[in-house]
Amino acid sequence: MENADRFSLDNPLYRLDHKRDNRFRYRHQWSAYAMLLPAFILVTIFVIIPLVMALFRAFQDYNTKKFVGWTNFEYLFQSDVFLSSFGNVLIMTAIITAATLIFSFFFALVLKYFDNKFGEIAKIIIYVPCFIAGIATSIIFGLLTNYGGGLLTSIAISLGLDPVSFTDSTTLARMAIIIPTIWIGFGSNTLVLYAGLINIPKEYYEAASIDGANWSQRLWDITIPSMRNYFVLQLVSLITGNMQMMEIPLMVTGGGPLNTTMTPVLFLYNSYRDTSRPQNATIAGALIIMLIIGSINWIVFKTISSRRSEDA
Amino acid sequence: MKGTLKFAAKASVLLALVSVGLISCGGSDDGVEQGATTITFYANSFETWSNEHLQDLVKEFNKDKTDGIQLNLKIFSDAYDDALTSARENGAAPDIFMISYNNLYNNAIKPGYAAPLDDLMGADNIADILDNVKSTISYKNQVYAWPLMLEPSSMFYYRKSYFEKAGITEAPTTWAQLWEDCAKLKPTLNKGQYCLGIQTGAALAWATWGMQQNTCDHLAVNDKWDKCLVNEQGYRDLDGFFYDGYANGYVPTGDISGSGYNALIAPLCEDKLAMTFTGSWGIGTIKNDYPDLVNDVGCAMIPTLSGDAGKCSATNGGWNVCISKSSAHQDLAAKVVKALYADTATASKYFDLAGYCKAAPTKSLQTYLAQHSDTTYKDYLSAVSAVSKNAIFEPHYSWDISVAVETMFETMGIKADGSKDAAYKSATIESAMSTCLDSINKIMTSSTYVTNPDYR
Repeated sequence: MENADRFSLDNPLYRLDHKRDNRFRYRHQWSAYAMLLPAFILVTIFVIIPLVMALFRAFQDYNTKKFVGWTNFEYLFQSDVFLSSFGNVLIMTAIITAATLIFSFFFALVLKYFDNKFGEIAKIIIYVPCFIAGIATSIIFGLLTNYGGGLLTSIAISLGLDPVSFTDSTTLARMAIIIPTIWIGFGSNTLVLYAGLINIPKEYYEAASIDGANWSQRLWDITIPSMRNYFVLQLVSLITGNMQMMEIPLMVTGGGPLNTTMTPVLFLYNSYRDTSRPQNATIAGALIIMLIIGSINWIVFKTISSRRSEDA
Repeated sequence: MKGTLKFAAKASVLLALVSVGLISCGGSDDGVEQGATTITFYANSFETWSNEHLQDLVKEFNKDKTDGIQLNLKIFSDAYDDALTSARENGAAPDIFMISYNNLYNNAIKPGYAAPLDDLMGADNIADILDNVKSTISYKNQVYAWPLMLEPSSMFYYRKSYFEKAGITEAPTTWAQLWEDCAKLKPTLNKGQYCLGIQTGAALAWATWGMQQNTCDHLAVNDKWDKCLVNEQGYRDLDGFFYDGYANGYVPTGDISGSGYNALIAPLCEDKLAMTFTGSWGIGTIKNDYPDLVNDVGCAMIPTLSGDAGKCSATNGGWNVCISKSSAHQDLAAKVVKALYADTATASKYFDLAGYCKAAPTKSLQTYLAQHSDTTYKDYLSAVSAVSKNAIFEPHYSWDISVAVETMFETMGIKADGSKDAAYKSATIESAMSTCLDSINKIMTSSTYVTNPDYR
């Protein structure tokens, strides 16, 4: 019998085997489904149902629950503060993302170079800020920069200088948010990139050295291309996280001065607490932010098409 | 091993019996009154002393085991509004709840959560409420809330010792005098010390309502809330006031205000400011946190353009209690409100503890406090009462409007930047006013914008 005929469903023997195989396969599938069930239930309860409810509520009045069409969205798109908050968060996200990637990458290189006790201690020290909540970080930086009696103010006064108000200057206020945000994420980002660096096969560098490649050539032609997927991962998480920043702006500047540090999420937080505003606009705004962040991440993935390291 | 287990089992049983016994004994004093109706009271959290005082009042009320009422108090901090909403949505609305004057109409009367109190509280009690207070808690000739106190949002505080050092003999009443005093004070201060503290950021939105009313005889919009009135000389004057304060270096360019109820008053008491604007609650902070400075900190009406002591210079903020319309025991809830807040001697304890930083909302309480108040705080009491008497109530038009006006004043602080050039000052004011006008007009065109409901 030809192979094609033997494996045809017209062959009664194959049909019997096929049925047994399928039963076997399904039996395993059910156990897989059973294992997935808890996760599916949790995702349904905490993601899918709230998302569907959010979609409904975005078109309802907060108090009366009556459908009000696009009113909540209209409120947001007519608010100059909400619209300008996207500009603010984009600028801050761009600076934080670029600075975090560059600093973390070069510090990870240094850690890889110091593969000894010093490196171990450095890894622990830089990771410490990750344990600190954004609110606590804001307080720590507040103690440093507080205009009324922070460390920097005390130093300025003792030197006979005028204190600088970081949070009340339109130019410095963003820096007062950017610096603690970079500080808090620096450790974890560095360790992720360090993990990527130690995964690059040593043979690459040995072969490059034999071919006479210098340090910068090895960096540009081996290290950076091999780290591509790690950079994409970091880029996506940094953009996603920072586009939703709220805690630090809330604590440090409250969105001021003149709304220059207002972020979309902080605006929505304020809106929800303000009963004179349509409170379901908060939900409508959250959906808008979700769409924007999703789109940005999609563009990032499309632009830098993620692929595996050839040797991995 | 077996012996140890036996001992552990016996000890556990003994411990359980002792615990049950203790709980039973404890119930003899503070236990629940048998057969009593439970009245639930949702309260917002305030200063620690204030929360403790309310808890004491409730404890005292519950000592009476013959009134048929057990009061169940729940104090919420930031989550107060959420807790209230959640309870209502679950059909378990509290019998009594607190609400601020500015939220009363939108969040309690309009949605039908508050019951009318005229019959429940009785004609005598209703007649005792000050007329200006009654007008703001009424809707269609029915009173919907029992007022707890009045808090003027803007008072002027100054350090007498600093004044003496600078040769200033009395508190300024006009802006011109205020700047003269600042000029005298400035050379006597060190680096890091400033002449005058003013609220910054979003706080300017509510803190300047009284100043706006004083300078312009109206707020940023007309009574119907359908026309913006910012483009007037009064607002130019107010912008100029803020500009001058910053341009001359009298007001700190940064926020040194502290936070919450300590805002601005703590820096005054900690020698960072010689004078400051802040709400009447500053007196409570002086009394509780800086008692040694009671005689050194003076309190008066804020300086104004005209200096007219009979004009409004602040808004009256404050809180009320309402009885839920859905409550099945409105009569018992009213009994609680009467016992806790309408009884003059009981209600006066709150004002004593507050150091008279709040003004009384009823005629009988006003008279009682004038006769019985601690003499140490007499000056504070008379300053707060005088300001409160002429104060308007907080507007409940869209908060976005107040924020637009706040942004205009905040712009003065950002742009002044030490420049005393008259043309630059004028251009800065006109530009900020134009932006404010545009923002408010835009807010008014929104389909979600609510004009003033003619509810009185």
